[in-house]
Amino acid sequence: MKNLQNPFEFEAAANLPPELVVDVFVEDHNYTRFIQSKRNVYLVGERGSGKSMTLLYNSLKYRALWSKIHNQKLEYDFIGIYIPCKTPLTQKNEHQLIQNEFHMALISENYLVLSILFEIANTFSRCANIVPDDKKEWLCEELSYLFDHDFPKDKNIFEEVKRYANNEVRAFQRLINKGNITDAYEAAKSFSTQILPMILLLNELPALSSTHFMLMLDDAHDLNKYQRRCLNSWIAYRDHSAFSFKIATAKVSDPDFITLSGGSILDGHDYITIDMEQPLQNPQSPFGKLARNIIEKRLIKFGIDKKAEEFFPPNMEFMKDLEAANDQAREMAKKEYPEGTAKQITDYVYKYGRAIYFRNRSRKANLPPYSGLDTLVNISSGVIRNLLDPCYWMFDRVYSAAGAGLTIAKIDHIPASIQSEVICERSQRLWTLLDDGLDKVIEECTRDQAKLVKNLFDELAVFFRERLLHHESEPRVITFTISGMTPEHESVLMPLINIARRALLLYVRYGPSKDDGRREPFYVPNRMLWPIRGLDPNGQHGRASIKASDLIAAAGGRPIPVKFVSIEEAVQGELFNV
Amino acid sequence: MYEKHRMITVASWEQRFLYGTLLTFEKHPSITRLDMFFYREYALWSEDNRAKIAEFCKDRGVYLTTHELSFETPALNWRIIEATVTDSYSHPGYIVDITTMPRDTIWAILHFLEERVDYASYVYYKPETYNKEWLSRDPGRPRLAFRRSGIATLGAPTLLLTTTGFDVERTEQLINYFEPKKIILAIQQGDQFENIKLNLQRHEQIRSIHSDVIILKVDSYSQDHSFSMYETALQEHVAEYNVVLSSLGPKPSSIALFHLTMRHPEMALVYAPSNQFNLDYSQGLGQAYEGTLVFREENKQ
Repeated sequence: MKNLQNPFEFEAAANLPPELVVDVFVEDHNYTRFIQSKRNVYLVGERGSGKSMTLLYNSLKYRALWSKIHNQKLEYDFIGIYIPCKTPLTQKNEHQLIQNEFHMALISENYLVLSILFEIANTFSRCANIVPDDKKEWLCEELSYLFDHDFPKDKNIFEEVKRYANNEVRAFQRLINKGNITDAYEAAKSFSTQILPMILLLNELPALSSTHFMLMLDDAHDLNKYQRRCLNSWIAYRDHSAFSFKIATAKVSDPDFITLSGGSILDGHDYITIDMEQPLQNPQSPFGKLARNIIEKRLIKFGIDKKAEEFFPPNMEFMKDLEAANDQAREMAKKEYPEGTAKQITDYVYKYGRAIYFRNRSRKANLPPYSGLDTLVNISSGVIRNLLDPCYWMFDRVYSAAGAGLTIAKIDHIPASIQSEVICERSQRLWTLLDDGLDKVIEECTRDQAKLVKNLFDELAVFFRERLLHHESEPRVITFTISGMTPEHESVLMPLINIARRALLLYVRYGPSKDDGRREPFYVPNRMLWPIRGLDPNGQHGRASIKASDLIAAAGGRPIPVKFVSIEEAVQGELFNV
Repeated sequence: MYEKHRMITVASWEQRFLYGTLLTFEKHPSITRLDMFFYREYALWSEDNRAKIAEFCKDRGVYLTTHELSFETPALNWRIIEATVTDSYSHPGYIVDITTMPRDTIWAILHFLEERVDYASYVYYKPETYNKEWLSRDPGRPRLAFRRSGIATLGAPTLLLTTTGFDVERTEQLINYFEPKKIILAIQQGDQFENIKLNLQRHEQIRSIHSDVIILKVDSYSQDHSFSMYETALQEHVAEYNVVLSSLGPKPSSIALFHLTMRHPEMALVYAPSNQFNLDYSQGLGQAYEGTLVFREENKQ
């Protein structure tokens, strides 16, 4: 990716130019009403699900840029302070050399507190007129008292606070690196003595008198144990009128919710959780609409005024064959339901139309020509980066092949053949990752575990393919739940599941259980796995229930049993649909 | 020149550990003490070689200390290394055999030696051949080296400089971990062991994914292990970035990176561990590379 030559850039959000983020971020479906609230919020999702973009977009710097671009007044009701946790400062671990837990926590908290202090000052240093002239001296004196440091009265106070925070943190690191722990303890700062009073001081400025400060920590899974517990303790504060936390964290890290004092914070009470990975029913689902908006916004930015469906047209031969398969399904439905309602016929076509297409294909045929917006939305598995990745490579291929003379704005579509080519390549790439061994790239994954995970996915591919070709009720299901899990099964299976999750080969979602309505986890293999195996990445509502013992056996290379359900059983409506 | 030398090493099952150690003793008959660390996880594999070295030391009248470390307890390892290197033994010259020494151990030993002596010698033995199938697996989480974690500046973006090996996945793991704004890939020059195909060309692909990547062709086997190249490449970025240094390439590069942090303590060293090594990692004993790391120039004799 060089010099923004591609509308579908997907680098880490904080490394993208702010103007690009402001231009391409789609606000509608990204939980703004939860972010811009006084609630503590955990945004949970794997890499590429849009967590960082969401936080950045809601930070004051980016909101100010948006206001400037759109000539709108910047409101100060909710001010987002973006605090990155993926930094060499946060990743320091000298606290492990100390044998006193209290001191470990002091040192860890100090780094986090100074980072927050810096970012608060950094946020306001660019805001002209936040501090009226008659308040400048007062603010300088108050902060000088608070931090026990003489700030010059004639300088930008927020720049001075930034400088102070940096001097403090650098001096602290020197002490720690030299092993001078005693002096370090004395210099350590805390949230309640530094951040809280500063926020309350800022609330005394006229422009910020009703401001609620949102402290937005990104990549909080990179915090060490003591920093996480500090954070949980702050979340547990009773009064959140002046500030709240919005915390982005990877789902697979399974954050702990214990406070420094050993208590815990509770979902729904102390914070709410937003799952950034969207359930994917169809292109009309919220994620489908989001995907469309994201693509179109990015195209517009590069001067390409096209609808997403037009830019990514499907293969016409495929559409024709699919329509023929749907017609066949319609005829079958009319025979099954002679008195059937229109909905029954439509549902039947939805369930079996695409399956009939795949079943009608000759065994010797090439892979289906995967293409079209519908396919792209589905293979993204509800993760934004998975949507942008193939789009990026498709665009790059068209642009590179065109040679000199073609401007980006002149690319008005991606040919279906190139879409199919890139999708298959990206699909193969995931299997190559499995073949080469996840132990090479995933932390705490042994060679043996890598082989087991590979076997598991191989057998899942075979299982879903058998269903696609033979199952009469839910042939296109490509998600599963795990049944019959015992503690012994869990100790074997869950490490493999977690490795697959860390490798972004598997996502976990939550939905109502078939049996008793409670929420249960269900597993969505990354749909990009399926094209190279000739499966339908679109999937359908429904989940296959697989026994834990069968999954463990699959990891050992044994096929997963497929129960073939007859149409009669299916029609009786005994089976569960999501 | 010191009359007595103290050697520090990490025991391994590889042939180059055993033959290299014996060769070092031959070249430096002034070695009167050997501190031999070994890792618990490979204790069985290294047992034979350790026994031979112990026998040799006994025959030669070399004072031998052995110390068990573990990949699972980096903080405890640090304390053991500290206790060993900073003990009350009178100040001899030091020779550090880095041949089969994990990089975080190299950096820990050099860290304590920097506090204690004015300079230390080191030696590295290449093997004759490496295993063609695989060398190491099961990457652990990258971690900043204790007390060599730099002096980070709040608000500064990250620059990652890493020497590269044949596993491009490990480089990508580091990039994913730090999400640096700028990346400098230091790639060993030459085509030994299909280096161009397995190292250079694979790492070129990273350029197509990340926006700001510089490729530096280095020679980790040169006298300064390309230290001056690194310093030149970094000097215009040090003020603007938090610099993180990693050694995934030839082991002598770890000396150059440590040297960088001596001159620029704001730079951080990061260790990317592997939890599994191939028993057939290498064969034979190859060329030796020796050098001296000067901690305090004015006192060097």
